[in-house]
Amino acid sequence: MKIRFAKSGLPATGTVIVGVLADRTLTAAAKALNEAGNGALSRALDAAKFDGKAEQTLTILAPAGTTLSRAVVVGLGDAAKADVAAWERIGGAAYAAAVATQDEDVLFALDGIDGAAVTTAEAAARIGFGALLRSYRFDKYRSEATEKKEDKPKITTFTVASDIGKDAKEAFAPLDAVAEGVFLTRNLQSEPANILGPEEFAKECQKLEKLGVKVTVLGEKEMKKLGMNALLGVGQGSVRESQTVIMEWNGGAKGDAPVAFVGKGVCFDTGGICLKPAGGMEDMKWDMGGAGVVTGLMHALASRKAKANVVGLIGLVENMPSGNAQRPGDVVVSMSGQTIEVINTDAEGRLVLADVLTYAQREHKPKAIIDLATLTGAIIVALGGEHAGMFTNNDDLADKLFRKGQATGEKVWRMPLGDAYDKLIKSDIADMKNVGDGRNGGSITAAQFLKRYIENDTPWAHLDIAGTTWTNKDLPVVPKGATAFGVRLLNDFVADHYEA
Amino acid sequence: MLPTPTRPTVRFLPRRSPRPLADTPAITVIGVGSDGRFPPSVTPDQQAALLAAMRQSGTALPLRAGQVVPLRSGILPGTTTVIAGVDGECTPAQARTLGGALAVALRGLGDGGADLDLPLGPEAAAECLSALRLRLWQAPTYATKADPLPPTVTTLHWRSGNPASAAALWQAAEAVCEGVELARDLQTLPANILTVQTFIDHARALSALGVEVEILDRKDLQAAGMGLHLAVGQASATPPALAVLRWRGGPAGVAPTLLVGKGLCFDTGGICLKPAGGMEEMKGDMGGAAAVIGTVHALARQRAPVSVTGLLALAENAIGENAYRPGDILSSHSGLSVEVIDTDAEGRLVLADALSWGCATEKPAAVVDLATLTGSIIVALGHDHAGLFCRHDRDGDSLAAALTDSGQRSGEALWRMPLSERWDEALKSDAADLRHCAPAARLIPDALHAARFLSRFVPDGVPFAHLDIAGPSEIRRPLPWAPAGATGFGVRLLVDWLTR
Repeated sequence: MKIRFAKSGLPATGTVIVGVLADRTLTAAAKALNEAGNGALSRALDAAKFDGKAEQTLTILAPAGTTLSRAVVVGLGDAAKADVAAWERIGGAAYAAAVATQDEDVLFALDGIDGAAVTTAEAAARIGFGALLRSYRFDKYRSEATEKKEDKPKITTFTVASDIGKDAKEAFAPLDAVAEGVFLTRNLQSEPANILGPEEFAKECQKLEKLGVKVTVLGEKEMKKLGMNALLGVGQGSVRESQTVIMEWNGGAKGDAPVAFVGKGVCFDTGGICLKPAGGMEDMKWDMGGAGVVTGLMHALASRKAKANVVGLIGLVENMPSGNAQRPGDVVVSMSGQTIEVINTDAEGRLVLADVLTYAQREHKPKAIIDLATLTGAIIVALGGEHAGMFTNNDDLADKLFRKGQATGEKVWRMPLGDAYDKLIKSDIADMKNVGDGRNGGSITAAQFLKRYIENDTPWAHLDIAGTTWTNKDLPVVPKGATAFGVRLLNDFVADHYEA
Repeated sequence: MLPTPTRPTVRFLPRRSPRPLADTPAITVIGVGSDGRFPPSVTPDQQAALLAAMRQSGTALPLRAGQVVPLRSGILPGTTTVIAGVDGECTPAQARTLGGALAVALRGLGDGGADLDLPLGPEAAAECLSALRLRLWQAPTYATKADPLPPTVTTLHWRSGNPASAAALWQAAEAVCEGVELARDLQTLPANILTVQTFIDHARALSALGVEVEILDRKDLQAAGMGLHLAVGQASATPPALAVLRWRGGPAGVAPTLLVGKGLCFDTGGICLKPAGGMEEMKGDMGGAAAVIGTVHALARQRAPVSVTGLLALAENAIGENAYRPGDILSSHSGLSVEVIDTDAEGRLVLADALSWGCATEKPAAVVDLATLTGSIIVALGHDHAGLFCRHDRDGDSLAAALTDSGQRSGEALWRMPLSERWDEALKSDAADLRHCAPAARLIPDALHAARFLSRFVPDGVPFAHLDIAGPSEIRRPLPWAPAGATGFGVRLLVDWLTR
């Protein structure tokens, strides 16, 4: 679907979307539609008890006094209070209501928003962004047998019409780049594990080279040389070769230390010898969610030519049980030199991250590191799907990420770290073990484990995105399925704090 | 009724009092600063001899803050000299660490007096002595052939630069220790001994301290319409009750603070029976009520100038032919109807009625409830923090900040968790106004659901905090001020918050 911007005005045919503000205040476009039908729109709003609450929608087929096929009325809420994320949600809700149309072109007539908190151009751009994000579908494996062509969404162009079309277009350009990154991430997260293994994932990363990203892929031989045994141990049970991919985008000043993003990329996680129960195991195809986010983020930053030096590093493995799989009780020497007793082979993500974190610091000397991982079930029990868990050694970073989360709707909630939790990963025979006190405080002990691989108090945040990477129901700007949670948050984080 | 252990008596005396003291202490405790300075009461000859003895025992200066070295020598009066490392600026946490270490060192050294010369100001002294006393607490035992308790000091002679001020602060701290000990004793008592009825006896005992005690028995609960509380207790041979403890130390006419404690004297889970393994721990499912009675006890013993109403929501969640069932629909005090999903999520039911009754009856300025509510909070935060839930508005934020500060000072740490309306969806019932929990499934944020459920029973505008203390109310590893087992978590925190 393409997002376009045009000058105000209602079209004669097709599908149109008009807004109604809180307390049922009609916007200019809604008024025009109402007048064309001699008050039919108002009567419809009455009949549907439509009050203009944000994201509320009402579809009217063949609206009276027009030659349109359908009109979608969308609630805009209180424009004076609506931030950019609110406009994105409105765009998403409008798209979701309009998607049943048979028209290929849909026009959102946006004008006459007095006293709005953001400019009309910004609102228009965000509506387009929200609609685009909501329009994502992963349907490549659904053949005609189950979904007929006429049942697929028809919309190819979603136009936002306002009195400042050109400004809106400019405001939208970087968002379009972010949406591309989001879609890449969602594709990676949605692909089944038989299609997307470590090597296939690495190949996807190499496609970023055409955007000017420098991509380096380390295979098992190189990693062995570097001593990345914690990562290699996780992948050793699989026939597929483990990979570490390094993606560098140098859009900032030369010599400026980069910000590093590190992602967990367990392309499939069976649990290994500590095999997971069968129920729900198919979800483990998205246990590479963090790596997916890092890749999509690098794509977004590169395609909007971010003025910052950023390096993305992902550890790609498949955690399989086999005759050569890692066992509970095994001890591995990580790249950092610290030894790890593997108690539970299903706590593998932290083993992968440990070595990639060390590599990131030794090779790239970043000024800050943020890692993302679908790391623990405990974080879902703790926070559900509304917030990702944030663990950090730096209050300033915590504050910035929290604020960006609130602003983008990809929310993070800070969770504690501390010596009492660190003690729980003491091992009798190695420097640490890879689990703590069973499930108790399970996300925290995982974070304590990672913290042991952060050198020199480098500002570091760990985002446990296990609860937010996949949604089982449609959300305003995220259709059911892979969310790419983190791409928008971190894109804005880079834009606001690392770009001059 | 409870076995009465010996608590050491504390006497304060001027720092330069001559040595040996009149009652010839068995032990002398000397604090040495990080600068290696001995207190002036130690002569240079004695200091040289002590240093030599330390060298022989394999320790050298400087000692870590909180490190203690017992020396069996007659250099100073008594059989043993204990050298303790003290940091120059002793934080409350360091004072507690020191107190706990001293408790461990003094236990078994003999049951005479001890002469303590530690360079602590009055506040740090009170904190150190509190930790010392609370670490020496022992669970009530019913063993008929128990080994005798190790002989432990009976009198602590504490040298102070300001004995009068130290004594006054200790008097207040001692009242808090009593409250903590009461809470721990009650938590530890088995459910056949601590029934709803005997818990009421403990509540009534507070009237001797000037607390107004009112008991709502089953009939009263029926008259008040507290259908949730009644349902939880209806299968038990001991009927449910609500104990109301009013301490009015504050100015007349000032609204009290309402403290509500979950008091499940035993929780079998009811018809949704718990598994047998570990069920004995459910005798402690009244930890919230224990904290509330302990707090009111402490405030009354201090004659604290504050007004507080404590509610103990007492019941036994038994299984039986009259037990409430999943699917039952109950009417609550607030008027909301509640569908029961899991009879083992009973705590939020008794609390909901108590919160609603308390807000209506006491018109409180603020409400705090404490409950060993969910296993989910232990998965989230382990045993080192309790979960703190407040509304996300200005009142809620400032209440959360104040409670978190008190948690830091008292060593009873809280971690704020999100309280979100989003969970109303999980609490939607097809048959009633709401249900009290989501159906059992893997990975549910039950602590968040419970918090949201409770908040529905506290009127908007009343500042409200919910403390899920399931983690820290019972510990497996000792803390400086608590042996493994029941902690009385909440008493120190609440007294600090209420009296500051």
